[in-house]
Amino acid sequence: MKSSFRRATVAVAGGVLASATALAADVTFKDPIGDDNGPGNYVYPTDGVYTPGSFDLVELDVKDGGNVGFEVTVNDALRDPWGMGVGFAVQMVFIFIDTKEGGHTVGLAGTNIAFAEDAGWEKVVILSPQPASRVQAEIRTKGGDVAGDIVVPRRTTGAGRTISAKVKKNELGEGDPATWGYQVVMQSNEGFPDKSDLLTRKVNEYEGQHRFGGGNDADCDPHVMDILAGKGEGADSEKQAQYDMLAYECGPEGGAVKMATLTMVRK
Amino acid sequence: MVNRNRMLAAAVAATLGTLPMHAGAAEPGEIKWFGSVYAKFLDGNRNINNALYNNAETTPGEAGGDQGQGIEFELMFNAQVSKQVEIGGRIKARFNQNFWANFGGFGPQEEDERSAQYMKLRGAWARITPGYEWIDSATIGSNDWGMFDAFTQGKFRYIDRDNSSGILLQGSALGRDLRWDLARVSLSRLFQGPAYNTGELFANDAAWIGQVTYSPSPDWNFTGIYEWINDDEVDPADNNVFDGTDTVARYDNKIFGLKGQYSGLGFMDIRAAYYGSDFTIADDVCGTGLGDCRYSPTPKKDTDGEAYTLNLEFNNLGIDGLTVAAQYFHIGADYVSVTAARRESDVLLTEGQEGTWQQGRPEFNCFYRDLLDTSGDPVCGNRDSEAYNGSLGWGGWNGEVQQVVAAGLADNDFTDFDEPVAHTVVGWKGFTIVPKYRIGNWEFAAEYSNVDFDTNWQACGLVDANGNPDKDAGCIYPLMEGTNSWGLGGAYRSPYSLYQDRSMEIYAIRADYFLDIANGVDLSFRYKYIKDEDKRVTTQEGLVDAYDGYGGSVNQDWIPNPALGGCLECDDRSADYNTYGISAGYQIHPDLYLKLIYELNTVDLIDGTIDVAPIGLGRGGSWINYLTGEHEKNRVGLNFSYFLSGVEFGGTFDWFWGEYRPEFYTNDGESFVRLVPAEGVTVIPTALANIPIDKVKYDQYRMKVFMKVSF
Repeated sequence: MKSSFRRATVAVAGGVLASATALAADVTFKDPIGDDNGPGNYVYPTDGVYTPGSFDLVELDVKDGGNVGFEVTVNDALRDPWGMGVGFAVQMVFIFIDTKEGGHTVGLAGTNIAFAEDAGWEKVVILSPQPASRVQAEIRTKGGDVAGDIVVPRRTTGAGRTISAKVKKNELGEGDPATWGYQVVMQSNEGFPDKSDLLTRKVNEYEGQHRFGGGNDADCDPHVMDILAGKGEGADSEKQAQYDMLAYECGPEGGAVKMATLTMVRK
Repeated sequence: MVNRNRMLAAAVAATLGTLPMHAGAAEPGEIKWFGSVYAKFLDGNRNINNALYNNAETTPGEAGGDQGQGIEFELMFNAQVSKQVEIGGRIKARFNQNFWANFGGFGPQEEDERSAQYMKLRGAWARITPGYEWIDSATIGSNDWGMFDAFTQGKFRYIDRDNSSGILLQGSALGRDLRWDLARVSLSRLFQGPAYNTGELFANDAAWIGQVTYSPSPDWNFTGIYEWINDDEVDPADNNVFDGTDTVARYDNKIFGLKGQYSGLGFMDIRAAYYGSDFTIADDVCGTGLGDCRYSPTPKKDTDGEAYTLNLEFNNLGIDGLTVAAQYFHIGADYVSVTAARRESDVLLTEGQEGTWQQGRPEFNCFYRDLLDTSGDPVCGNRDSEAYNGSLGWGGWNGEVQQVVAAGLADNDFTDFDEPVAHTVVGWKGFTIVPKYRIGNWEFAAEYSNVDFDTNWQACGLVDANGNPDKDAGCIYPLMEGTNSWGLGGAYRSPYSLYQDRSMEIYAIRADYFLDIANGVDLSFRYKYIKDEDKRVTTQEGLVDAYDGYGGSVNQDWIPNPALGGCLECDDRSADYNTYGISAGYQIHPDLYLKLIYELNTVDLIDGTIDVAPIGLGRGGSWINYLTGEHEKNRVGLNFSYFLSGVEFGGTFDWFWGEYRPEFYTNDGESFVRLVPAEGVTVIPTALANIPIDKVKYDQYRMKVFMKVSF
């Protein structure tokens, strides 16, 4: 009996270690703290669930193993006030990946961003607390021409300050993930989005109980609270680089004269 | 649970203007309409069609339902009237007893709004953003007050989260490093006052609350809150109406709070909160007899109290994937906040108790009780009894409990078994430690909690002229159902007992594993153990006061044992809860997710000897079951969620089975001993009923399926 128990214990421990050691070749990007204000003046909604730092991107870890693991860390402990059941609730993260030449230069519905010509993305991974089938249903409706390049992990969870997910490498493309370009867009999980928005929370001129503030009531402003910038090392100078990328200009009719245009960060 | 939360959040979002506006697309003044169609399908083997909710509703005849189908239509609107004005609202035909079987609202009582299909205004608001330096916005009308917190003005709802209304002013300064909120919130005449009302003059009763939050850096922030809740009545001494009529306070409740967070250490966040409360009540509102204001969300007399929490969250311990959260908490017995959150908030880190034992009473022993209602039927365990109809059955709620500080106001009305149950934790003090570790496809979590109680006292801390405990000396705490520490999970509303000396420990571990085959299988394993002990009366003098003979109010076959014959341990309560759970979830199709759950819950309970009756409860014991013995409850659950573009289906199917094996203890020469029934004895007289000695088998089936279409 005792030896059976011992063998089982060793087997479980071995499995745990095996699954852990399968991970290798990490790449890490850092982002300065305190730049969770979009182009420089965005503010959080006023409801108490949006605690300071919730959308302040701190780090992206990409781990290449049998699957590719993504870990996004924010500057506050994750909480689940809406009972999503996966360890976090208010955040939603888009990880745009540039795996090769070319790619899409449009953002996703509801983000009001574009990508520079030399920073097109091939795949975007969505880390959402919503059930994967809900996200997929939204993508089918609102994903537009890029729907086929949106990847939803089979399981996304949060613990501590970190949101984690893994996707099959063949869903992302060929090559070494450590050499790819990345851009992380911090958004908020909106369970009841506008009909044209992909589960994203709006930014308006005035913040509301569940709306970000500091932007424009029209859809000419980037609905983004934080992104990677510069070399992705977390330097203070990267704040300004972020503000520059997210700078926008609205026309008198509410259209974008200048759209926020993002670049990729790579090692 | 999640799906229901989302539905509720939709109502809030729409009503409070959180659904986004197409400001660029809509013409100024254009009104935008949107909404949802929500259908619910219930089935179960209790075969009760009281309502399309299967909760423990406090209004008799309006809950406990496990039958029928119904559909709700909800229409929401908002409009950007101008750059400075925005409005919104919600109308809805909701169901309580609006079964399809009513054939389109033509039930037996067509005029009854519970069964007809009337559309009703549920909430309306206007938000003004004048563009001044000193104020950002003014919101007038419906609000759920989510900008405040669960200890003061909680996020609030009764049926819907837009039931509450008031005026909210919000502003900022110092480059928005400083933000302030000021609100006047009308009190609900339905429950926000002593004896669950706000008196005869109610229309201007309100809570005034202000808070200032200062966030100068990502490393720290600080909030100060002050609230004044006031219920006035006409001054009975003012008989001269020529100069108007004066008012006097029925009750006042003042709360102040300070809370802050510091994250500058890098490896650890520190969060702390302190709240103080002061409660005053007019002398003539409640007496201090045990039956006075027995059902009330407030103390019967003036009191002041405090509550505080300290959270440490270690997020960088040098081991990748390891985090540790710890909380010290003290929710004072006298902390009173009439407007604190009643549900959908959780002020403690601990998982707390399991929902399945909250209100999941056997409801069997009253069959044998010589206690009949006016129709001559047994009061409990009868299909017609309120105790049976007014609960959600033996299965209880699924999942863990939510812990709120609204004494007497924890509220679970209009909920279903798949939603979380709220439970008051006034009086709880102790600490919780929760380590979590993630490695590879594994996620581990554990918890240890040690809970002491600020409500541990003898006769509410009252003594007579001789210094002995005296329960009749004017206990200021409402007893309500009086089952706080009596039943398995007890009542969720009242945290008070006359005599208590309780402690509780919670141990829990959980392991989640993502099995990476095909679409991936979400596997989960968990175990929880709770040790809950209450010595109740701890002195001989207390025994004399507590167990004083129960004149004329209990089972006539039972022979009272005044003062328990001096046996101090004879009223002790000891409960050992075990929960074992395993589940597997699988994305069987891109649109369909299935989850299969098995749980085993056991309780080994000794709830005093057969000589003991609830102290001071008298005939109110009709709600109480005899529960000493071994309880075993198995659950197989099947959950599904199915999404198509614009529509969501979800459902829970539960099958329960198990048994209760009664055990009996008695007082044998001042000692607590197991009672072995003599040959031929089939029932044991207790204060609650003549309890059959045989084990009782249970099974329950229940189903809830819903469809929600958003448009």
